[in-house]
Amino acid sequence: MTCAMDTENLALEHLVDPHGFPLFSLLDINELPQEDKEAIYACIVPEIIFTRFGFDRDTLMSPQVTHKIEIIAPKGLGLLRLAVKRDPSDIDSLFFVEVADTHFNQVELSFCLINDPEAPRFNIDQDTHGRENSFGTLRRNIDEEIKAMRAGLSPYQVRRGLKTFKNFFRRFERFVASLGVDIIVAEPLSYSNAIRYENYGFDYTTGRQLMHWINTEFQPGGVLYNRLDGSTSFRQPEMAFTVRGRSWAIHDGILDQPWDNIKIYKSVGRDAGVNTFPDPDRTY
Amino acid sequence: MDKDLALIYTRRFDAYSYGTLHPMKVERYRLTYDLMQACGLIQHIKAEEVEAVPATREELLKFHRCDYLDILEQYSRDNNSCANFKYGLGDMENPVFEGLYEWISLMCGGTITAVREVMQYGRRAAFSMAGGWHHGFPARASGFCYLNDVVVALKPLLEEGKRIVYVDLDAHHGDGVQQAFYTTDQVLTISIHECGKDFYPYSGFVRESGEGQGYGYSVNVPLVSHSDDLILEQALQRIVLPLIKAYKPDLLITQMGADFMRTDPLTRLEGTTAFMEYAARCFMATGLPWVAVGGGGYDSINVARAWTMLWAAMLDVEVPYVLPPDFQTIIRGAGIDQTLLRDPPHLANPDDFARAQKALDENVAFLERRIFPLYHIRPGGIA
Repeated sequence: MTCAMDTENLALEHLVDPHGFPLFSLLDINELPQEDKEAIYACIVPEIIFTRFGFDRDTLMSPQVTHKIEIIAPKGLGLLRLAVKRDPSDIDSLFFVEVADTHFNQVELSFCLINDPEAPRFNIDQDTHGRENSFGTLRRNIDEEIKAMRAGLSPYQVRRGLKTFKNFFRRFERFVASLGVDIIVAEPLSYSNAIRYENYGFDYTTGRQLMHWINTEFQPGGVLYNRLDGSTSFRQPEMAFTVRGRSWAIHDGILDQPWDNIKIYKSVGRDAGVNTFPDPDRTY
Repeated sequence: MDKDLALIYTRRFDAYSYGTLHPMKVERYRLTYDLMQACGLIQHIKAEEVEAVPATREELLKFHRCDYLDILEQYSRDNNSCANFKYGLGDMENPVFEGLYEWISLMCGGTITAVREVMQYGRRAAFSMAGGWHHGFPARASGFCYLNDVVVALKPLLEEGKRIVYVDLDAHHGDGVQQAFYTTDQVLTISIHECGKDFYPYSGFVRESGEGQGYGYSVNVPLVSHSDDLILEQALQRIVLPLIKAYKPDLLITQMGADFMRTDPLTRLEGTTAFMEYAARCFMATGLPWVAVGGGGYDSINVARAWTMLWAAMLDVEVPYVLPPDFQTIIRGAGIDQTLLRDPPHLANPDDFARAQKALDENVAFLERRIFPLYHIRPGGIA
């Protein structure tokens, strides 16, 4: 691999199957026997799963040998779903990732969740009657959202994370590079998600103008700033100055449009250098 | 037979209408055919197009009741609004219109033709896109279905002692077919569908397993809403394929309703065209004589795309990601802005997945415990 790497040296060998044939996609990997594809996909599991939570690197079994890291990667489909639970009965995964081949030889990071099982849980994913609400997109659970926000979580987070996304993403980017794929695509679920992805070197396919507009209008006197009128817990004036605050306000519907159709991409090994919230004093 | 596959079609499939407000749009057949043609899948070296002919009254009487057929014929001659709710006819769901009887007989005849092409003329497989009316009962219309083409087409085979596996991938439970064969071991019916707890036709629970001689020959895999391709794939691999292998049928017939797709307006599953292609390749790989029939699907372009991918998989042809330009022009004229033949990849959100996987695991465990031993299949699907 000869491309210039701004962020770190991703130069590595192309991924090959046990017979030495190169693999170019999830579809290719999924053709392999289960143990071979498990060995490949295990490389994207964050280190903490093995070090802190005691999963076995070779067998992928839990420390109690009760269950395994779950890897769903069927032959014939270019999809991967990987889930790690501390205990099979746990509601939340320690680590959960969904990845897909796209039509254009890119890899889509469809979803990634990392949960600290020791942290308090906020049931923002259920309504007040305990019914699922598709992460608050159907019926919001306002009380739980307020508690989650006050505990320092972002919209759609049910628990604090494990501060290991960076470790995961480094592994993931290296994995994508080893397939010879040069673009990762994703859709950030929230404003805070989008800003976080900017920090990892993503640029926007759609939504960059919106992100700049959001930043402009959250400045004192701006349209969004003026809507932080204290009418709800999610619309307090100080929220204009933090990523998480803005994100909750947007989740609360402060934009004139839904948070939708924001699409981002990353050229593997390159940092796009995008920063749509360039305030040097910004905090999360 | 030098051409292994038969595509059953006639331009008359879309000659009638349920009405402009009804979700069943018959133009989907023409769109499907046009898309297949635009993809070069019609005049194909491996396949022959066979004109559908209407089922005869004698054929229909193998399953449907005489009084019901009489009423259908009578209403069909009359353009005035008619209704008989005893037979499920004339409401918003199953409207009656002039020419109805001829039209549904033609649809039913398509499936009879498909079965004949495979079982009598030795085709490897056939596709009857206008079949799959799986909610039809002997004397009652239901769920947009007036006649049950699959049951009608299979009855003569059963008289010959043939054994059949029927697999139903439609988002709705195949209740009419299941009921028709609920007490026989000559047909193994397997339906994967959205759970009937709050979803039409409110049946197809995992414990519905057949009765008497038919115990163990009705299998249901209800899925919770938002189940996606990876859940559908597991249902196929863990339940459907092992059972087909173990049952060793003379014929495999599959209902390929396209309403499991995430963009279908009437259902809540989250499948994509990738699953349609995947399932078709799995069915071809069984090596069994195979008849595929259509079914649900309430977004006409979805249906056209999904069934084109199905037919391409039957032909073992790769189709492009993008709709052919000629076809894009046709649909743009109808105000449809769709450019992709294959859906982009789609995976359900983690919460939905967790619920779907849990429900699937419970249902699979039940079937492995209660049904698999009857077929000498070990858990994990190994016969």
